[in-house]
Amino acid sequence: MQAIKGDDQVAEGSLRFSNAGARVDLSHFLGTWINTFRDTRSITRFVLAQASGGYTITVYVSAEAGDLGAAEVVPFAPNVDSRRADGFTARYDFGFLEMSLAAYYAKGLTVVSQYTRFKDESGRPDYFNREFFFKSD
Amino acid sequence: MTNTQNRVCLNDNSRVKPGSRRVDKLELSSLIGKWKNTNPATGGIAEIYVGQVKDALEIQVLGAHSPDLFDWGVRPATAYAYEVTGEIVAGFELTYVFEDQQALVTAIHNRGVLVIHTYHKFKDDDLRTNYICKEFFHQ
Repeated sequence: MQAIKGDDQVAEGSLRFSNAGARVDLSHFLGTWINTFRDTRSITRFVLAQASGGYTITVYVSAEAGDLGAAEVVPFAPNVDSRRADGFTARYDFGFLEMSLAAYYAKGLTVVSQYTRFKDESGRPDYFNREFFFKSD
Repeated sequence: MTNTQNRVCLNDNSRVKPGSRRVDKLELSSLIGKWKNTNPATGGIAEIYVGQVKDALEIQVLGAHSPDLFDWGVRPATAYAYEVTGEIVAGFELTYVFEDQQALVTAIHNRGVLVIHTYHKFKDDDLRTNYICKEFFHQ
């Protein structure tokens, strides 16, 4: 088993998840998450759902624009000995623009970092922003 | 000698820029209302009510106290701006005094999240260590 740092190595004697294809469970995240900042000009809410063989995210950006469609979600555990997700990534590609999402969970909040990259040679700089989401009741 | 020259500045941020002065009153509306802990399973503060009485803040803290909530009571709080001549409230602090402990509650508002740090200081207690609790709240 190759590793580039100590954190990549499973604890000694831990064979629980050594089976190939072991998945990280995101089920406790499923549902609607709402931006804490009501005046946001970015993501207003997102929905995490189960899909065949994995999970999807549907991002909503404003009442006018609606949703950005569903994208595949890759869940991440906090360490190699766990399979309960602590965060996830997702990626949207609209041709002229690519948006990568990287999210982690902290005390009831999901903190979502957005990395937006323009591919249309419009001169707009790629930019980063971060927002906070709480789970809808 | 001007007013600003009479004041001790602890750092550069404390200096009032020439031509600037404190606003008559802080804009408090962004904090007013009920704030709910983002973690429904919290063992700390479950809810906070922020009210305005004249130009001041009034806070009511409800602690998670299974199976109900424990009302810490309604107390006045000191409001703070983001800068020395700021107009918008950034947060507040207040201290609750109970029989066996003091709880200093500090809050700062950032993009719809109220971040609360509570400093629990116990009196004559050989069982409990003073501790800090950090929690997040949304409206």
